[in-house]
Amino acid sequence: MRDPALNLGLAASSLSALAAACLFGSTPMDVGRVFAALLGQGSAVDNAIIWQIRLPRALSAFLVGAALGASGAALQGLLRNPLAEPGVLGVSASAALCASGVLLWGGSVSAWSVPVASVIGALIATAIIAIVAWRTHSILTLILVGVGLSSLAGALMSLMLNLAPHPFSLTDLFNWTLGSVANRSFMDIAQVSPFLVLGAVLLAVSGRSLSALTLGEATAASVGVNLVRLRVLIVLGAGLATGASVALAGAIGFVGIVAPHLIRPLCGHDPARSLLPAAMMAGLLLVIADIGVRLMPGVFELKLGVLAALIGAPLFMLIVLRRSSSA
Amino acid sequence: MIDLEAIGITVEQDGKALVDNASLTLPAGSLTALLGPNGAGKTSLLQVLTGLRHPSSGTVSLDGQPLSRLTAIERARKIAYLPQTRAVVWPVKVREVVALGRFAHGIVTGRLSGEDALAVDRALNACDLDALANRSCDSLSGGELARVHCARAFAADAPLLIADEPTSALDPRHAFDIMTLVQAFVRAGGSALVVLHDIALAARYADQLLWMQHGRIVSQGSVTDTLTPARLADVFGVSAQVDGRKVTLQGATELGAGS
Repeated sequence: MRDPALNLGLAASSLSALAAACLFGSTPMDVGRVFAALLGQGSAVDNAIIWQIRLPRALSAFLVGAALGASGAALQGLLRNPLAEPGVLGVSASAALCASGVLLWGGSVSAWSVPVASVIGALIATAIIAIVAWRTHSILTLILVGVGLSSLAGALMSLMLNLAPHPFSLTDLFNWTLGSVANRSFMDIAQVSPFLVLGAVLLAVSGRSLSALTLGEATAASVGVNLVRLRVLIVLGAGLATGASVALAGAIGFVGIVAPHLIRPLCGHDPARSLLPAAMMAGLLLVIADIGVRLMPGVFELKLGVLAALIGAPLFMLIVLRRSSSA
Repeated sequence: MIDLEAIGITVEQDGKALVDNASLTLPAGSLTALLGPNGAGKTSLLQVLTGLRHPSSGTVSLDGQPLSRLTAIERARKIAYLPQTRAVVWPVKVREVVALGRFAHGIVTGRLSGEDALAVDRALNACDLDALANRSCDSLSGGELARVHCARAFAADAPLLIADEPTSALDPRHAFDIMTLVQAFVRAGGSALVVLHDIALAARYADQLLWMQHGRIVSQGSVTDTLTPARLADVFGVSAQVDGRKVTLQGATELGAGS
């Protein structure tokens, strides 16, 4: 498939999914009312439902997915492994750990403290992964270090919940760690957008070099790739984007593996060309999954992160098994 | 045309000298074969000559300009490198791999401009890959993949080719094919430094031989001057009959290499 066709198709699908997300909800609204509200011409209640509840929620789902999809595709290109992803490598868990710490122990300092803490946590984890990747050439070691990092962050999170000063805030925190975009506002999006934008720019400028890494590090360096610069760009870019996504929605796993996996065959397996479509595909998947979450019957709403894990984890195992049988 | 000169190259790792005070020149328009047993330091030396590794001491210059002053892109426009590994991580198409040889010319994969596309087509054609251009790399044989990497190196239009065992794991016919390609590259005005383990192949194709042992360059010169039974016995520990460019290996000498 040609890249422009793929990108246009994904952009159109994403816009359609965002529009569809505005249609569904606990208050039934027909297409006419939704469009009127989108244009600000609806009733006060309709406008509020669309602009304060449904649109920011759907947009959050898309942005979180896009950040994780782009980070996943970039990390997979850098580490030359289709299983590399912010969730598997412990980046999301580290971001969630730092953000939770701030929420529990000092959340009222500033509105920016949660996104900043989340980004710092993600950057520390990505840097650790990149340093390990540099020292070992074993992808297995790298994935295991990621699993260890993830477990450590989980353990520290449990410790923190154990010692939490305000037990009443535990439910909030617990819900947040499950991963959800419910009740997000444009203000929440605005607070993470600088990190998202910067992360996206860093990943985009590194794309061309990722293609050359297909040939391995020595050959990539010999054709003109500055490996040190590339690693720094991807670590910063993936850290910023993942940290921002965790600050907005908590840790949502596996979408960073699944989306690039679906996209890669459609753009010639080129890591650079898969960055943008993988981001859109991941955003699209999360918007659709979030619509599913809202439409599911039941008293309690299923959390987006839980659904993503329920679908993503078996797919992850499938990818692992197919790789080991072809190797 | 390009001249490469290396003076006093030493590479130390964990207190051991992998390359020990090696000096050499690669004259423009010549094919040089680097010979030496496993562990002689050939790959380390090649990494220094391509600028991928900083030597502990010594300098490399290209046409009188220090290699260390060049950026990665500037270096890549002058030196094309074929490392020992022929890994292609993702199942990309042959044409895409060859196009990566144009990286230093600013290509964006999937969208080649006129000049870049021409260079890629030329390289594909020179390496007899036209029919395979749209095949995925994971469906190729070892010999085909070796040709793909050759084409990738040629596509760069760099005047100097440095290749680390480009014929390893290839059958004789494919080894000849690769060396014929390298020779054609040199006849067309390029220079090449090629590590070879097949001494007969080196004797047949090279303009000059570089002999390496225990990290040192022990001899540099024409095939007829430096290819002798005594040197083969000393460097490789093999007894051989030499007749001009014809070599017949007869077996291991009673004493080991370099003893």
